[in-house]
Amino acid sequence: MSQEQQDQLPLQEVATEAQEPASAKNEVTQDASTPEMSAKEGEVYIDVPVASGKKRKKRKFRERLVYESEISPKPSIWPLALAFSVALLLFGLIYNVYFLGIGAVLVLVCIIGWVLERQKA
Amino acid sequence: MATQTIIESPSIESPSRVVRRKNFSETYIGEWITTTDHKQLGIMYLVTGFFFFLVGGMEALLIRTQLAVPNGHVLSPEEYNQVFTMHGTTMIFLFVIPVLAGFGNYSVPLMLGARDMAFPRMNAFGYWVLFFGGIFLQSSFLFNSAPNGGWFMYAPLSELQSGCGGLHAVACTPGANSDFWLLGTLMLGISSIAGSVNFVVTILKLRAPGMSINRMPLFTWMILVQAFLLLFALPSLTAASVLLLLDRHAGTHFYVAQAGGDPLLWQHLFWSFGHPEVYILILPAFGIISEILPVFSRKPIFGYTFIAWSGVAIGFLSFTVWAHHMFAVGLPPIAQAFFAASTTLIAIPTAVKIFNWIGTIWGGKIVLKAPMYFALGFIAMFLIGGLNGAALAVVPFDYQMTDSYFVVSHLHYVLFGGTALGVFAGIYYWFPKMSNKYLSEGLAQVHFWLVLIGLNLTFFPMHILGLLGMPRRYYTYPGTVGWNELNLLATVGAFIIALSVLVFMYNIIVSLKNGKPSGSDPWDAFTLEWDTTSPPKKYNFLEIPIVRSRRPFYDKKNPEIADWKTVTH
Repeated sequence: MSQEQQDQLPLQEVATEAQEPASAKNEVTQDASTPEMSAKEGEVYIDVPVASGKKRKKRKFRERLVYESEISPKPSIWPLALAFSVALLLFGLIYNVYFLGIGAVLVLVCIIGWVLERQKA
Repeated sequence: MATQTIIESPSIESPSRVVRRKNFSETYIGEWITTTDHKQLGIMYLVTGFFFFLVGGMEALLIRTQLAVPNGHVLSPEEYNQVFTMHGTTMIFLFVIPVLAGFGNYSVPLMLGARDMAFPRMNAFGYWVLFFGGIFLQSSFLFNSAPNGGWFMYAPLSELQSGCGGLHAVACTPGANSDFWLLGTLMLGISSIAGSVNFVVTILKLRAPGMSINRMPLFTWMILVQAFLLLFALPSLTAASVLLLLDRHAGTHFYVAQAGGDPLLWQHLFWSFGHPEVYILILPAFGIISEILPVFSRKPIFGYTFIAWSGVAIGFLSFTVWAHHMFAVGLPPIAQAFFAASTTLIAIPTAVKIFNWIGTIWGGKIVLKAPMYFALGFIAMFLIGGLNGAALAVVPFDYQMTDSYFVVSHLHYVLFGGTALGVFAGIYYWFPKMSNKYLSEGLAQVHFWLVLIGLNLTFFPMHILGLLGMPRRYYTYPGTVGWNELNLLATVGAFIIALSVLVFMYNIIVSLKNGKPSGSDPWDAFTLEWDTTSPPKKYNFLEIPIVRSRRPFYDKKNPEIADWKTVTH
């Protein structure tokens, strides 16, 4: 099957099955009544997935609803900490063996922290 | 087929809703410090790169002020050595590479229809290593130990005194000057490796469905080639640096001829990194131009395949030309012939790109906005830099011109006239995507004409200075050798460039505050980054788009005349 023929297939599916009007842009319109908008300053709502693995009968493919936080990369302080430790270690290499030692220990701590954070995630 | 649709927050009826205090990573500062989002990191790369551009620019102004008139004493000779070394190092390692990485970080996942880079934490690590590497290098000024051996840190000049006594009239490089450079570039190398691995995996593995390799936007092609170049070129710099550190601190003599070492080993190792580095610095700018020209000419890019594969050809050939920097060291004739031929050969794929860009503009409905001005300026200035580079590939000519201001002129036409104009074009093009604001068109045009006049006033006279015999890196010159007016002209030009940068910064600040809202697709563009909000949400796309041609967003906007219906690729 040529690339062109392969391209036709999903397009036909979408064309026949898209019954809801497609959003003009690839974005979510936010409803002001959502809890996120009404949260007090200093507080946020944990978004808990409520619909996943949902199947629609008329669709040939499954559509799973997910929250932004599920697929967004998690923030982490360890990249910054590790980079700082490497800089400290190298500075110690030039100027002071104490900095070198502290830098080496911090590099180890950061690597362990990074790995543990990954495992926890 | 499984797809994912994003919900920004749970519905009001959500039964399992709970309230908690903000984490550190949810505060404004904490979000930027701990972010692993490619768009935020891209902006951080850009801001950091421009900060160091200002630092490097001020160093350039110091150099030009020192050379404005004969027998100048604005700086001491020692300070002058430090300033020109740090100017080159800063501009190459701390301005151009980070800014290009910034564009790559911001745009590549969006162009590919991906939600983020393949390794977001490593992406953040790459940025922070660069940040601290930059501080590390610049902090050398505070310790009065800024690197002073030129940005290519030739051995044995960069050796310690004990290793090269008798070779030079002055002690080689006692103190930590060279160490700052060696360790600083080592850190920046770690950053580049982290970024490159990320780009390669992202581009090869995270493309949207249907986006085959020959449908990728040309900017992502060039970033892919650049990433491979970095991965293959940096090890030789790292090896060279470690050997030099061992020479300096462990008593080895890899680069000391009297002890059986070979100073040329440094040059071979350095330039086998250093020449691919030139293409590392220019290829993404080629990519930016290849994105802008079709949009502002209202037609598809001419010769997509040639542009993409000529980039690959340049990548391969860039590893075969390094010794053209070393013609004057006494290479055997066969080596000179080989490197002259390979250097001439690399002009072919480069010229292919220029013909393709002209072909793209030819017959198009040209929209003359700021990105297009800078793109056209790029082509003209890069052409000058390319032509005088081809002249330097001719061995007898190179013998005369090596280490003269002719070479300085050539590299600045390529890296400032080329890369920096490409970077400015990219800023004007993608700024509305990043901020949902237009930059002021009037100020942009003032910026363009000032920078174009300034750079030609600065760098064109350097051709003639080189031909008149002025060597690069000289601290000063007597007033009787005929270099006075040309040097003064170059200095005036440098200050005009500085003025243009002030206009640019003013434009950024004013436009961020009061700029006209741009909407999500201000240029009626063709690629996927415009198929989402400005600025994009964290998840980039509500649904991952399906790609059927090289202009997926054009197809979406024009379903009746979509490329995939009329063009087979």
